[in-house]
Amino acid sequence: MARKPNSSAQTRKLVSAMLRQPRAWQYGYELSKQTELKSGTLYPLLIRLSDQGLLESKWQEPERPGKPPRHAYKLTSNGLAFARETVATDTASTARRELAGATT
Amino acid sequence: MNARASLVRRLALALIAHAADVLPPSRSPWGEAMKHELDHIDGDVEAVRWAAGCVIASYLERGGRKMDQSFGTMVRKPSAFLPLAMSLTALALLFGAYIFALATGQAGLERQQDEGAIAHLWQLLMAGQLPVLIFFAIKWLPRAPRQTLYVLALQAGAALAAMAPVYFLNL
Repeated sequence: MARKPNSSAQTRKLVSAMLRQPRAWQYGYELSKQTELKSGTLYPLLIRLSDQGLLESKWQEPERPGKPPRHAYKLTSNGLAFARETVATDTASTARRELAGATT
Repeated sequence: MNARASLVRRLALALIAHAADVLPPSRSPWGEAMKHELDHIDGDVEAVRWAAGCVIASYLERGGRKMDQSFGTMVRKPSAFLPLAMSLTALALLFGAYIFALATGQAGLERQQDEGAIAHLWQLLMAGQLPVLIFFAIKWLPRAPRQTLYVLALQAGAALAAMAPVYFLNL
């Protein structure tokens, strides 16, 4: 059976991290540190989410002088809805697991 | 920054440049994003780790985009159609020489001791396409193997068609 799109643990981790600061533009390296995802996993996810219209990106001037502009990312409204749904599903399944553990 | 650190940083820069090169042209902003991000990573070892991951990401991305190259777009690349055109020109030369021979009352094409201009042109066209063909194979086989093999088969067919009259008519 084909896996549901965007259902991987890494995708859930990334959108959950972005949902913590839904209005902030975030950078690849910082997202990598927050999620503990390596760049080899992070960029394919960012590209896929961007292709699906769940993520927007823009170039931002650097905070430190002499450094190049940075590509920054933010969830779109569809991305936010998807992230909220993902987090809610995760919370519900964790609660179910805890309940099952308590009753056995 | 000591010499060892700068060597590690150079390695990171080389890796990130490769990551950007590997990505398909439609993904070039992502390659730039990876490159620029590297300049914001202070630790050299961390930079290498980041760059190595980006190389993997680029190859993954390129792998997923391989099918974007259709046969039609492949065959329109200069290094694909040039050998085809050279083979077809060589074949047309032989055909033209054959028609000319018939028009001037000869029985057809015959092998000559002193190879004429047509023979030299044919040889130049056939030999000249080899480097182009090799360049095409080296450049496109890793990026779009299936489509490249189709084009190579077509090029081989055209070259054989140009060589067939020489072989069968013993020219």
